[in-house]
Amino acid sequence: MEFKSRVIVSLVVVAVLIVAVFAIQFIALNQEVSTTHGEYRLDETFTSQDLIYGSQGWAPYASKIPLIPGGNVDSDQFYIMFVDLNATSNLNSTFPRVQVDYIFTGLHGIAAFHVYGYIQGNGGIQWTNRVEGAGANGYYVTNDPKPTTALNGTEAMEDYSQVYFKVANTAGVSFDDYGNNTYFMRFGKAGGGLNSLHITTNPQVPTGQVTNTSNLAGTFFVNFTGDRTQNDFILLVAVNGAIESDFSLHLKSSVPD
Amino acid sequence: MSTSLTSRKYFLVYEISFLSLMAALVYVFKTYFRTPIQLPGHTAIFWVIPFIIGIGITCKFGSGTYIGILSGLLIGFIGMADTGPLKVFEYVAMGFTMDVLSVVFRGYLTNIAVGFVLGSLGSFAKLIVNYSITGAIVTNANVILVGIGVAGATHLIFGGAGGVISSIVLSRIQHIKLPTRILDKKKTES
Repeated sequence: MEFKSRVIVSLVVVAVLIVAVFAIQFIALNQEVSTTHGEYRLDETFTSQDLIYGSQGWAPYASKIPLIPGGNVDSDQFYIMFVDLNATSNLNSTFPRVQVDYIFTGLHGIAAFHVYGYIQGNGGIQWTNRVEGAGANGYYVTNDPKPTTALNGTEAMEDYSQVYFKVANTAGVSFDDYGNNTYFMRFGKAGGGLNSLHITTNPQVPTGQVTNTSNLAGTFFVNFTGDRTQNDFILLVAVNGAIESDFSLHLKSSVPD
Repeated sequence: MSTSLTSRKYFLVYEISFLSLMAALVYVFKTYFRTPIQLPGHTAIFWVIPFIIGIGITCKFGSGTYIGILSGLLIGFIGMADTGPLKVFEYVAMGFTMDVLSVVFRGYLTNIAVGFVLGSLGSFAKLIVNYSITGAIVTNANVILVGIGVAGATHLIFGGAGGVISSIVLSRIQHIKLPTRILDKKKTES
């Protein structure tokens, strides 16, 4: 075969491969989504007293990242709690994910949900969802916004990248690696650890999307798409506005089949 | 077996040194180069270059595989690779694919279309092995397949772009000959 013919055949192979991978992706994405799930891994109500961190405008990462898209890490005032979902994706599921059902009462501002991933033996948490930019995802609930009121008894997070943090669950953390009932954030270089964890409202879009809603009750899913299996997911819940005694958040987590 | 035949068939120390440097360069590109592009596999535009230049300069079958073994071991053991030492298989697959293609296109590696094909298919071979390992030991197949369209296309396109760069670089440096054995030189002169 002549050189020219060999080149043309090879380029055709490249073109065919591009078409083939998109065809495979299309088939994979159009499989049926299972809606059944096992027993709840978390079924707990959290109150304003569980918002123990803040006020602050950032979520922990290698650098301070905003809690809402377009947010100001220096001036935003959110109060934060971490909730251990006690669950990870079922890898035998067609679309592996953890389902989160929430019900807010007394929300007078914005509530932002973000997810952190825990891998046993990794020496710390190094993964979270991307808040801004290409590939961003997250879940934001807004209701009756009022000026932020100061909460008593909260504490500032000691650091944004290397820090132990407590969870609001009554049972404490699922993996108490350090014997102090905390998880440890161990973020290194900025830019890494933002591509594999996602929050989505549609299991057929595993890489997630930014959802803004005014629904005080709803469902979203957290998952991972990287090649490292997460052993547990931890939710970050950030709330601003008037946080009064009637504030509560009921959270349930479950693993779809 | 004559000395010249031996030196044509086997790698010389100079060639091994040069290919090892190329492998180290793959490790550096893969581990330390970060770009703001949020696409899987886009860094292929960097790390296919040492492979093709290594193959192009030594002109011996196995050059790409050697670079693949060494760079895979470096990335697998000290490059914080997710799948650890298994990473070596990805880079061996990539190097071997390029070795085979370099035989098909022997003498034409400075052609940019050939560079594109080598980079593109080499990068894609790496992706396939990566997905096979990940699917087999880490996660389920569907998690991988729902993203294979974009990942596959970026590996092919960015790998091809890196191949084009390699061909251009190679066309400018191909006159540089690696040192040969003194005996070979004498034999050639006589």
